[in-house]
Amino acid sequence: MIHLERISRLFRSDEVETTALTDIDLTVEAGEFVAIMGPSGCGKSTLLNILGTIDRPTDGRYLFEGDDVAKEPEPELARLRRDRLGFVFQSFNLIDELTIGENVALGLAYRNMPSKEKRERVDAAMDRVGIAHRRNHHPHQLSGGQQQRAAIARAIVGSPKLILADEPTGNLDTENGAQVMEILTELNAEGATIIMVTHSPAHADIAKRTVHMLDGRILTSARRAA
Amino acid sequence: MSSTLLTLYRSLTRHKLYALLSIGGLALGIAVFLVLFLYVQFERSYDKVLPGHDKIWAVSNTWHLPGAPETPYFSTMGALLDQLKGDFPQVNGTRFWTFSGATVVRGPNATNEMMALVDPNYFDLFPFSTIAGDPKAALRDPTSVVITKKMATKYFGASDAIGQPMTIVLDGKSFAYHVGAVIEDRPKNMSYTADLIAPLVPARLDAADTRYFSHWGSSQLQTFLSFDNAAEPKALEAQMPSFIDRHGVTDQGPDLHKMLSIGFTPLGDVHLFDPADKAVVATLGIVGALTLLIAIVNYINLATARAGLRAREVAIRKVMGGSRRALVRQFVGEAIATVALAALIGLALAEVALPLVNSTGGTSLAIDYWGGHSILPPLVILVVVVGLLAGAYPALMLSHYRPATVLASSRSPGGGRAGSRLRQTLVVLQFAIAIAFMIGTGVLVAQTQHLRNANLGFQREGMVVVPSFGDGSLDEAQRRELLTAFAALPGVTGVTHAMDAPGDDSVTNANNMHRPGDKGSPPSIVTVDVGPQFFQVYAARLLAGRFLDPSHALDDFTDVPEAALQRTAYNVVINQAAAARLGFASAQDAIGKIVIQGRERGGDGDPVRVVGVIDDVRFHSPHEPVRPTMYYFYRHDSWPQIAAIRFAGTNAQTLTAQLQRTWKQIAPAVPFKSQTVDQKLYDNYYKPDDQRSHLFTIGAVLAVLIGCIGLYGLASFDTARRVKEIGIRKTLGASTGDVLKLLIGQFLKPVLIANLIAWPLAYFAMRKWLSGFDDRIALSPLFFLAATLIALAIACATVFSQAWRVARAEPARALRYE
Repeated sequence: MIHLERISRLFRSDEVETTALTDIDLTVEAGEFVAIMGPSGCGKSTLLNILGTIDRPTDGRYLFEGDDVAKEPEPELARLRRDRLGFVFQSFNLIDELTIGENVALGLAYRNMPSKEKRERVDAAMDRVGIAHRRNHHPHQLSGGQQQRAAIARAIVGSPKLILADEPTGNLDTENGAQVMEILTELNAEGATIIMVTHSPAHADIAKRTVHMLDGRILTSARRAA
Repeated sequence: MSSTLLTLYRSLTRHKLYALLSIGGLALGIAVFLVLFLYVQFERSYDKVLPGHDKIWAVSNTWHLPGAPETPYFSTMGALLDQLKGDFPQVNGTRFWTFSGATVVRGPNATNEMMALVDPNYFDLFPFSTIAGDPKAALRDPTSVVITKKMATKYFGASDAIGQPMTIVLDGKSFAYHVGAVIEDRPKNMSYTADLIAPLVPARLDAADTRYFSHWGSSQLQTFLSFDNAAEPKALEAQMPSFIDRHGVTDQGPDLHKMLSIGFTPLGDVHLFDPADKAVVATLGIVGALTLLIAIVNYINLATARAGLRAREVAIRKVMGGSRRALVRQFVGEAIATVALAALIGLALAEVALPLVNSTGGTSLAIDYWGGHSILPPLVILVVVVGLLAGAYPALMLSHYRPATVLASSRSPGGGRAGSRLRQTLVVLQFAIAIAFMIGTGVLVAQTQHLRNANLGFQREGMVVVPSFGDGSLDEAQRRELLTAFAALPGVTGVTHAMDAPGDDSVTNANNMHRPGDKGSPPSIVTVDVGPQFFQVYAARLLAGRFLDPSHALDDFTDVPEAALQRTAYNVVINQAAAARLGFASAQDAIGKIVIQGRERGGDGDPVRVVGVIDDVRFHSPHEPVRPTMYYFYRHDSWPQIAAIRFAGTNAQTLTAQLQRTWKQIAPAVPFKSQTVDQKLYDNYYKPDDQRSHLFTIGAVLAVLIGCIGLYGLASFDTARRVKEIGIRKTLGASTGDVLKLLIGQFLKPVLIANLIAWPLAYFAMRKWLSGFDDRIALSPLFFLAATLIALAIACATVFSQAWRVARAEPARALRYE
């Protein structure tokens, strides 16, 4: 599904040039659940952003289902994100001005779909993560765990093929973290490919494969014994 | 305080764009307000600069005649004051008679000056600062003249003017005066003063021909009465109908009070007596006030929007032990200091703009810093009030937050829903005013254009009028010689003369006329004597019949004895308005018909026969309807007439120079006065509207500009606040177009809502304004649509650059943004 070849990412400011990623080669098959681990600043989130096409590599090839998306124009990428990707962030990234229901519906906002179908899908996604009763609340009225479940509902409402999760449990207590991991495992079991950045070895263990990174490079990529 | 100023300085220099937008916008608003406020004050100050103006009332005549506008005229018959004094011994008053054509003769040079003949007590009612001599004593000497400082310098230079001789030609008669006193120059906002002021001695003047000087129905001069309180003129006004009937019966027949009324108006109200003038001045005042309001709204909007971004600073200050009161003080202090800076810049902008406004508007506006009319106290109040308004909301809102919440939150509070709703409402208000201004400007400019291009019933281009042709000093031979010489000049295609001409030099006579057998009240028809080729030279449009022509014996009124006129119907041409007033079904219907002139003193007047009907010819103000007019042909005439010259293949400047040369050869003692018809119409009738429409347009453009500054500032804050949200949306698949639509659409909504307020407002205001014109454009919906489209386009353009930048950014960068 995903094939990265010698992907690099440089950040340039006026005086400093920082290398975030160097020569990354990575292949992820459809249906995999991959955890990316490594110390802070090793390039995990940058890699995830490039995988999610919300950042572009400085160099290298990125094939998504056979298409080289590294050089696709912005409208094509927007379409890719809209139709095939779902995002879950550490800080939830819900929009304060919108209700939970509206936040979840945002996952379908840019698709051409009858509004009835949209409504049904939003309801199903919220049911799925257990926050249907919070539909009319605003994000700040919810606990962290509930907010993250809402963010997951938003990520899955469009039935994406790939879910990218950037430390989805990083801001949660143990119990809420476990709930979120449970949902992700179920989604993977239903066929979604998941790539997750995490600091938690326990949560990494839940994934089928763990990729270890250091200083912008991949150290090891180990598959968990079945 | 010094820490407040330091924080302010740093905040302004750090957020340069914000500082430019908020301070610049407010400064511009203050400048527009100041200039328009001074203009309104100037217009309203007319004649009120005179000490004791509140004890003076101007006498007006209003004619109630069918077919003629009922406009009060502030000019009266010369002997009115004497007759009033005769009937009402308590009346105290003075007369003022201007001669714009007074000629000062110095050796070979003759110069036209503005002269007034007044009663000896003039300076009791109209006191002026004296520079030399005794003006009051001077008016008691019939050979003495009081002159202004400007005249003294012009004619006598540095030497003492008192006692110097001056030869002045009035109405063709030369008078020897000597300077009795020198007074200060007349202020521009004084109506009844002149550069040369001499005692009024009716017996010395032809123009004061006693028949007309004391004839009811004529008017030559202004009469002013002095009263102690407002009740006195009211009481006297009640006695005017019987007074009119007592004195006017000989000239105008019985029951004259039904046709003529006499009124008294406080001197200070005369300048803006015409409701149209008053409305224009009021409108400009409103434009100024609303522009200031837009600027204030703008400033407050930007200040509150920006305050949200400072929540973190406030939280840290609180953590460090800052009390709520101290924070409120800091915010309000900053706001007042910023507004004060804007006020200073605004004052400077106004000072720069004033010379420009004065030179185009014919005003003498100036900002007073000291004294009774000082600008400083109102400006200080403005600074404090706007500073409090702009500082209070963010001060109270921010100082109310709990620091922990703010510091823990990932994003800056923007004042919540209430804050954004307040800002949206203010944007609606701003744009409502701006759109109304745009519609107003569109209508104003279109109407002004229309007046300049409208069909006046004659061809206004390629024509020069010579009003000095009517000067009383010219004799019949000179006039004939002038016409022949003018006609022979290269480029001249036609020469004519008539009592009426474009501009306000004409003498207007009117007569009540009716068709034989008509019993109703006879309409008042203006009568105009015209010379050969009048219709052809003016290129009047013939609707039916023919023009007047000396080859028809009955066309020519020259030297026809009174008895013949009573017996025989001589031929006349009338205009379309007269045909309609006289009840003819069409222009054709009038041809060959008899009209009786006058129905006074028992019997019918002389009959005339209509041989031609022309389209209405508009020589005078576009505000008033073209009056029904009857034209009489005279080969030559001793009445004051105005020459008109049609030219082609040469330009007006060359021709005017040639005309002047010719004139100097034939009539060197009479100053030559000429102007192109286009210029004359503009100066007399179109200039005030044009100037005011310029002022309005400038005000409106600046108001729209300030509105845009506000929208731009708001958009920049709003997009800055929403960068992260936009990142999320893009991550979820929103395209650049989707984001642009979202951001721009959000700002277009208030602009669209603003139309709901602006349209009816502009509709009623402009309908009222247009109703002041007889010749006016229709209030087309296009003005409204165009203003809306322009407002939307401006709003789009203003917001676009901001939205484009954010919409194009990589989502990952946006999500990192804090």
